[in-house]
Amino acid sequence: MDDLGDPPKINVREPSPGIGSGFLGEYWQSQRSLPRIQGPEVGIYYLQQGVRTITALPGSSIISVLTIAVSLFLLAGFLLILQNVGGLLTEAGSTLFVTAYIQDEAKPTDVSAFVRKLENSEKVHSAIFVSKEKALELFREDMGTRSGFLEGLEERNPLPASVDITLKPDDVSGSSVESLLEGLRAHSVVEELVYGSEWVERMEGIVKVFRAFGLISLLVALGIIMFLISNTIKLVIYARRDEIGIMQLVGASDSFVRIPFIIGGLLQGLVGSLFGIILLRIGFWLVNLEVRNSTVFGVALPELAFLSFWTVFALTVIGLLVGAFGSFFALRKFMNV
Amino acid sequence: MSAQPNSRDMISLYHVDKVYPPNQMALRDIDVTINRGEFVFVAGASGAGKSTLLKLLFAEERASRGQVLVGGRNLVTISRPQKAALRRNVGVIFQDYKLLETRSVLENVAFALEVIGVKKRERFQLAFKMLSAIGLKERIHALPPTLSGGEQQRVSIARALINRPQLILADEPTGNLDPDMTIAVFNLLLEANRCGATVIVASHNLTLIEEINKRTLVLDKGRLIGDFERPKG
Repeated sequence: MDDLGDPPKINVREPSPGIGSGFLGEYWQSQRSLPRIQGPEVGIYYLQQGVRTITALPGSSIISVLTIAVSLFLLAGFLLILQNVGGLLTEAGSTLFVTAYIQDEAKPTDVSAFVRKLENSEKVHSAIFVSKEKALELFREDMGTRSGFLEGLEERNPLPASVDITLKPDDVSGSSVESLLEGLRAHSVVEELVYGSEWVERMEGIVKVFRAFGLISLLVALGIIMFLISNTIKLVIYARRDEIGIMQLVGASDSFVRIPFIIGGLLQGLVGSLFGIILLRIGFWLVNLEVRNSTVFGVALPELAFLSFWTVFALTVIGLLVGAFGSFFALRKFMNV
Repeated sequence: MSAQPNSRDMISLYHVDKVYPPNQMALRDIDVTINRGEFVFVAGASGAGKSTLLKLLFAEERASRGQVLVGGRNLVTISRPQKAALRRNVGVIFQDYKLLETRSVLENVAFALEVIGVKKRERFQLAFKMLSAIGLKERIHALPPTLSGGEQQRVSIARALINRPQLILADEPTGNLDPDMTIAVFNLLLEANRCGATVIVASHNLTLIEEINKRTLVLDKGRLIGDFERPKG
């Protein structure tokens, strides 16, 4: 009570009759200052009021929480699909076989050195030398009963010797592959390199496009979700606009009005996002179970992975922030009394 | 003319106009000073500008022209935090009560103490005493929509007084009350005034104004047409 200066000291000369007599004068004249909440009590008070903003309108709060839960479920589900499809694509493009055909006139010692060098390379998983004779033998096996036309080719074997190279999956990324292939191509014993270059490029292209599309879709989804949640929260706050106005008219500061709503938004965001993620985890478990039991996908697909702890953590934080910011911005409109 | 407030002045209005859009002149060139500890009636017919004048005094509305000083603070240029601080020292009895409908009677009265951070036990004890003092002890757990107009008015009065405000603004505080309760409410306001609070009551009840016999400002179509120190002398 320090804003309007000290009131003049006027004693109650006579008690008023009827209702109110006695108490008011005694209370007014008492100079006792009223005990205030302070320190941790302030935090507890705001937390209680935050919970109250949720429980005061339970129906609206449930709608808010469900909106956040469904939004986060969709967002997290989208991330999960991105992560697993991206993983599958990367894996599909990560096993690269290269065949290096050896020049006929290459010296055996140079070829042996070439193979040894490959075997010792960190980027190479295996390097198997296939001689001209072995190549013909393998060709003959491939031809099976129709291999008769290969008779007599032993004398003038047209098939070149080769080295079958399998690269390590970790090293099959664009620039790494390119540099390795350039090195092989430039080697003196190598006649020609054959590998699924188009496949590699296509897979890399697909993964890039998928990731770019995923990122854009994620941002759009995030924007839509924020809009959706903030509008739901706005409706809840709209229902309490009179109350907010009255609070301000009796002297509540902006922070006094705002903080409980922001805490309420945070709590709704927390509950909503956890609820959404738990739903997704259950859904994921069911889908994974189906995939594993499927005769078609069970063998073809690798184990699907759920979102990492940090992704779940980030999604929960997004839920919290969306709840809090949604409340903050929705309140601005009604805090002009 | 620049404002030259006196330390005794609780309220000073200098050439105040209030125009509501698009062009409704609610107050016109109001020039008046009210000292600390005064009890003042604002009289006039409906639409004379009584409620608007009160709204200017706790910054619910902003003057279109002139200066409004309350406790030395110019409400035309007041910031939001200052506005909140001012309102914590002003007890307002609203014509439409403005009670929090989802909170009990006890919580409504205690709310004025809650916004200044008074501890829960203390604010409920005081609210209970205040409600007992105005005859609403039995209704403390009721929600405002279940109360009669007169009961809601008394809750509004209890809330306005519980903060021991230095300025009390009452807009038709007895409009919904029976004669006995009207007298009781005015006794409360007079008691608060005797305790040092400046009290301003907007009313069109001339009989009551005559009976209580305090300084009376008379408004007509937004103009201050009379300022009677003691109507009965």
